[in-house]
Amino acid sequence: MPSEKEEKYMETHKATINRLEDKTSLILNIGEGEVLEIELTEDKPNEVKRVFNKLISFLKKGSFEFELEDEDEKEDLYFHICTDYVGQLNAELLSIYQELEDYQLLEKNE
Amino acid sequence: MKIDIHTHTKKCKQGDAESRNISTEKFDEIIRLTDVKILAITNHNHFDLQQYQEIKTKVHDTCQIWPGIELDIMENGLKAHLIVIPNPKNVNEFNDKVAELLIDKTPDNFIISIDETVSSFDDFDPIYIAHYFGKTPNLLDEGVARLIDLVKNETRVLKEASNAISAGIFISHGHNSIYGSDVQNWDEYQEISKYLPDLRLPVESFEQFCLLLEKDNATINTILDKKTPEPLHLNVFGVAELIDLDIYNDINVLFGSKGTGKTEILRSISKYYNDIGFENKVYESNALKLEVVYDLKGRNYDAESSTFEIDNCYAELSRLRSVTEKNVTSLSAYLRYFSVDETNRISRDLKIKNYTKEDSTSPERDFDEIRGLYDRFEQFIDFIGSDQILTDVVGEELITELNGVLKKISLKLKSVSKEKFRDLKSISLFNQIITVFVEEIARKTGQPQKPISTGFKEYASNRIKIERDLNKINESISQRIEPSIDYVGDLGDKGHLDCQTNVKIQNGFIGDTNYQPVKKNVTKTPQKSVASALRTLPNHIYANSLFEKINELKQIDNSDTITSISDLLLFYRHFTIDNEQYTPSTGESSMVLLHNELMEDKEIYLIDEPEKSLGNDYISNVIVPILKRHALSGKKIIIVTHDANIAVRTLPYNSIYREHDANGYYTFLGNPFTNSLKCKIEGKEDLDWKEISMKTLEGGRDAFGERGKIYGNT
Repeated sequence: MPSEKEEKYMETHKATINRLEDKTSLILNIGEGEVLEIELTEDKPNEVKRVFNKLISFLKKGSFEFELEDEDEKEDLYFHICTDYVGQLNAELLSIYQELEDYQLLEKNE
Repeated sequence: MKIDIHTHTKKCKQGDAESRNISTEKFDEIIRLTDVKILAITNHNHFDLQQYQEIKTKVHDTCQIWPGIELDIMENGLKAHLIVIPNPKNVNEFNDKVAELLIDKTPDNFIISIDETVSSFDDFDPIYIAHYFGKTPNLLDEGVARLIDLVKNETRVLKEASNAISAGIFISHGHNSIYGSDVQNWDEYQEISKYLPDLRLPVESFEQFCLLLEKDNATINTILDKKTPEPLHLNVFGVAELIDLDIYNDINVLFGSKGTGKTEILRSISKYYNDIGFENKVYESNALKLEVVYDLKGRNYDAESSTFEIDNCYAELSRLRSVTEKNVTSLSAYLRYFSVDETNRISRDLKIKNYTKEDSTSPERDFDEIRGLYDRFEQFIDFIGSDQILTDVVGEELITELNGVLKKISLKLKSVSKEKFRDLKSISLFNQIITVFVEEIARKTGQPQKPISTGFKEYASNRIKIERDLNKINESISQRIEPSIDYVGDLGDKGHLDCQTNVKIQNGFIGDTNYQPVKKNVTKTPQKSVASALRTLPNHIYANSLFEKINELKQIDNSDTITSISDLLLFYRHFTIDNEQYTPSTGESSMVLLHNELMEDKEIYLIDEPEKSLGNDYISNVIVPILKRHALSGKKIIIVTHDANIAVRTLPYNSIYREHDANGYYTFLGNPFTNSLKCKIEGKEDLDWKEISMKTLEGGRDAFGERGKIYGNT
């Protein structure tokens, strides 16, 4: 669970599901117009790593989490996957933020 | 050989005893019963040229007689006695001056100032001997200082002590001192003379006595004297030519023509002293090169980064080489899990499988930190308890008070540590339960396993670890190391010669060809390439290209030789003057090496031809004063030389001369004070030290020319 201090400064970004005919993706709107995409219908580990690298870079600027908003309001397979995935990711983002903080690797722009 | 610089042959003043009067015949009788070989007649305010000449002639074969006078001095309202002994060559002029000063005066009412004394007698090349301290009426320190200020040669001013013990003490404090009989009754002179000072060396003339005065303060042997000859029996060239030498704890000069075995004798002396436990070595000029002595090429140079308080980063570099990428959880794993209906009722009811694992790394770090603090406090408490000296110094009460506070802190830390441990284990167990249930459910139901992590945490932690390692490595690499500067020697007007060792850590940019790797198993190419790669890696930490770049680093030829920051060290050693690079000439190198050899604190200095590659000025102005200083402090200095600057200007106590003729090799011993060289082999006539020195030594005539007056050279 995030501490009081962390909750105070934690930003919440929107995560959405983009369902297309040929593929479905989890879209992470990281802010500043940056959009990260994790394709759910095909395994692309390098793409996931690229997204993870971006997430670490953003974490250095401050703690954040994602909130899944499914505009289609479908409780389909992808919704369940993304709900679980975003939940796990949020916990891991918090853990890594703390690690960055403990090792003084955060960018000092406050 | 005794010397008496203060005698009376006449009752001159009313207070003088009659028993001071002595006839020439009686003087002759008495003096022959003693070991007195030099005697100065110093009557009170009176000089009798006729008596002086009679006595001198009478005893010329057994004792040197010097003229003199004991003057009543008035200085700053205080009366004192001052003896003036002119060079006997100037006795007539001295006699005239005394007569002039005593016109209309008697010895009883004569009085003179220091200024007038010096202006009257200093041209006669005299020795001044002032009554001092216990010898009354004495001249005070201010008066002595005034006298020293006025005379041409301050070594000619001596302080007259009342006895041998006082003279020894004055000498040991650096004052020229001597004492005489100040004879009251000639009938007692034979007994008194036994306690007169011995001269260190036989002196054959007034000039040579003055030479000895110039040599050092300790002209006379006293009870404090430690300067003695040590006989050596050397078998240098076989039993056919055994060599007997006396070595003084002073300067011993070994000279002679080339090819007379001087160097071999020096080595033999070295062996002799080494064998009896005086470690020494022969310093051979030009045998060493300065750049080798100071190891400019660094053949024996080694250093670790820790020498410069820089972490060697061994663990970090090792981890960087072995690190592997952490994989992320495949999205198809989620797809597979959520595509299958969960049909098993029990499985559906087991909600624990849906929990997300909690972060255990942060509590683990917290626990480690608190535990570390606790351990350090405990160690400190142990240290305080075990250090008796601390308790003794600070006191039991303070220690008890400190212990009380520390124990309170320790208890608090222990309590928090326990809490942190409990939290950590709770999380670990919780996470373990999730893992176990997820795996078991999948195994029992045959359904796909639920992914319990996106893999982000492991992936990011791995990268963070790499970032931390690279930060530490690059921080070490960026450190600047101050050059170390060692004093090499004095190059006179040019300044001090230093040896500067510059050490840098290769950062990928250093291309200066003067710099060489400190570590012998490392070459420059991998150093530069690895450092360059390490410098650029931080740009890739949060990019997919990171492991590609790490692999490139590992593939650099011989990159495996770079295992720590020490392996990136480069050095460049050179000489400097005033921080500017400087290459000393051969002569300058010789100067410095000899100077350094002589500046070492040793009992025995064995020097073979120190003059090689050296200028006269350096020998005279630098080397000779050092040799004299060592001689004064009782060190043994044995020098083979062809140079008159050394053999003459050092005023050696001992000159060893080697000569050869058709019949063989001969060793003569002598010194400048006796002006003779004697050979122990029967039939060999004594040699004239001065003549032989002038003939044999390079620059001999110049050296004697400069000291012509003192050596009696015309």
